Amino acid sequence: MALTDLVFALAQAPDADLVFGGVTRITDLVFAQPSATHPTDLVFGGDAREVHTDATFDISATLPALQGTLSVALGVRMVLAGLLPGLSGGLAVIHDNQTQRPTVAHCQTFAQVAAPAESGLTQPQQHAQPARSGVQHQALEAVYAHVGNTPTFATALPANTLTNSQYQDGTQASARLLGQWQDGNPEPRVDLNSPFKDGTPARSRLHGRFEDGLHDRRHSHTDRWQESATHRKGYTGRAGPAQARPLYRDSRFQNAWVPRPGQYVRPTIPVTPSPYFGPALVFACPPLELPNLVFGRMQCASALLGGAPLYILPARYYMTAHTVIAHRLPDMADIPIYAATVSADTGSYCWSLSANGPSSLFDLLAPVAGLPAQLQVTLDGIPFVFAVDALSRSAAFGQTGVLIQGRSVTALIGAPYMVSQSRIEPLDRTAQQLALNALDLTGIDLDWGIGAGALANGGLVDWFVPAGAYSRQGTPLESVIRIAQAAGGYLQSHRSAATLLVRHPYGMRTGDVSGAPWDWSLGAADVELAQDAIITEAIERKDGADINAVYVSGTSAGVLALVKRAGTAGDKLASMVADSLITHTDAARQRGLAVLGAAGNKYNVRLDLPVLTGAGQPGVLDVGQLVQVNAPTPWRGRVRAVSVNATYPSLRQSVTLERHLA
Amino acid sequence: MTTNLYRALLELLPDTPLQVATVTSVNAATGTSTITWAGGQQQTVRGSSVAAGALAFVRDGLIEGAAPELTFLTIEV
Repeated sequence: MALTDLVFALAQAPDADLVFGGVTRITDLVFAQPSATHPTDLVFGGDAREVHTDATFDISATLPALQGTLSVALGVRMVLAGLLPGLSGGLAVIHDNQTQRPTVAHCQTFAQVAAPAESGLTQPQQHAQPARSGVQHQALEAVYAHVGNTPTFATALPANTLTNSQYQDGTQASARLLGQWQDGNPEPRVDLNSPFKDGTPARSRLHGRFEDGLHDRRHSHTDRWQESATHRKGYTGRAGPAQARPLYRDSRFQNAWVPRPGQYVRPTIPVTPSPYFGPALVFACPPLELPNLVFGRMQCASALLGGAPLYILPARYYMTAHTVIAHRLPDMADIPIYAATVSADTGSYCWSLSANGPSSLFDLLAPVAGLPAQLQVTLDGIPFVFAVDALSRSAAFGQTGVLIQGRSVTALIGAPYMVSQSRIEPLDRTAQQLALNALDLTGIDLDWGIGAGALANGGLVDWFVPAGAYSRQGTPLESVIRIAQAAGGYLQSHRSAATLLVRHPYGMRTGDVSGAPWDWSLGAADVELAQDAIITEAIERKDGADINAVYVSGTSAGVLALVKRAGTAGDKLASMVADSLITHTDAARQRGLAVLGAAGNKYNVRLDLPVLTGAGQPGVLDVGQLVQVNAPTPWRGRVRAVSVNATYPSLRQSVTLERHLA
Repeated sequence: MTTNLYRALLELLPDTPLQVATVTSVNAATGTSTITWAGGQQQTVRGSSVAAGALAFVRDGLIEGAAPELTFLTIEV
């Protein structure tokens, strides 16, 4: 087609307009569906009422056969009539009203199914007809020209030209060599006249100067002693054969037997007597935990102490006997150690150990298969489990020793034992689920704690993290630390189990009491200490910024929150905190509380305490516990660091408390 | 407050946290912007990539990029 022609390709254009852009107009309403059995109504907006056509049931039944006795005689015409029973039966039709009837939406589109416009294509050219013109060959078929080849030269004939040699075959000239010497005559031999002839062996005869002695000449020997005779001496014993004399001893043990079937006695619920407030003198404390005569309302020591579950009561002296035992796990081999220090604080996620012992520990605690040995140190019955990080052996004149450094076994999910991983969370999760995902297949458990309610233990309140808001890179341990820090929390490790504890520095306390520093005076403390138990006390001023509000913000998703201390104007702002995991009000509140709680004037108080492990006594304190010191003016503080020093024969703990000034 | 020596050292080192502020005006000639912190204080920072009226991520006196509009809450603790 030549390019200069304007071609209207549509054959049946409804109008003769020149249309550029080719938008096909919809002018007709075309029902493309085939016609239904009943006429199709065009319904706009009305409810479609569906009419069911009649259903036809085909029933087939077998009627009983016609029976009777028939006597037939010839030539008699008879009529046989019978009555068949009617057809009866039951037809159960169930109409279920409770089925799901989805709303069938009819979409009314402005466009219908396009009907192909059978316009066809009008081709400007018709089919080309083959022009049977034939092919005019300009050349004929070549005919083989039988032209012989005329060789320019005939076959050359060998010219039998005789070669005239100037030389004929040479004749061997048998020239005779005339030697000047002929073969020598071997006949003339030199006669060697030796001055010696072969020697004749001279058989010299040996004349011995001695001849064989006579063997029968013996020197006689005369003994002066004759053979001794056995001298038998009789013996008279004063003791006869011993006789067994049964001796019975009293044993403190008897043979063990399987416990005999017993009887279960249902324990009765002890009746708690109501407190007595009368004028009579009542001795109400049978255990005599407080052997003082107390006049007043508070009748018992527990009431006097405000209900703290753990306490050290005042006393003139505290008597303890300490045991420090170390075992290697899992085979419980004895590990001798001289001294040990076990410590934990809020800034580190684990308990750490520093101990020393004899040089044999260097081999006993060597790493096995690339993993560090595990050591269980039991201080007064309180077990601590550590993975031995570093062993250093030193030798000096007269003494050798090994220094052991260890951390809780939760350190095994950090570097260098675990590699860094990257992850984007594609689904909606809670923060606790994110932490559990990070710890998946590591063998480390997670104790998220309880952040609210009557059983609160200072843990975090879980919060919602939408999909995509969380992305991490790092070891599993770093991931969990990152999640905890987003809400202002910190990590601790269980003393003996492979469990990470997530805690908030100012988390809710038992009994649904706020853990903020300004509310520490409310409710019961976790531990109460009598001043008598404090061996040394060191106080250090550690003031925080004077703030009462902080802006806390998420980054890509979440909330922007002004967290302020209740009852204040919120005018003294800390610098803003932005974290991608602050995606919920709970996260913002906890993060803000961590900032505001650390504000204000406060002390770091370090107390040296004995380790008392009796009933109701605290043993080794835990980081995060609220301690009340019953000084003349009682005060409270939360434990931020614990260090237990076991050097035979003493076992002391050093506790650092965070004490806020009003 | 910490008793961990390493944490105490980290607290001594300068910290440049990521923060969110509202851009008040943009001065394209000098490449700076005036931002308003959530508390109402104002500051001039480098960077003019975020339009006035929008939220921006600010770190160490430098606008890092646009920040999304987040739900605002006031929480009392």
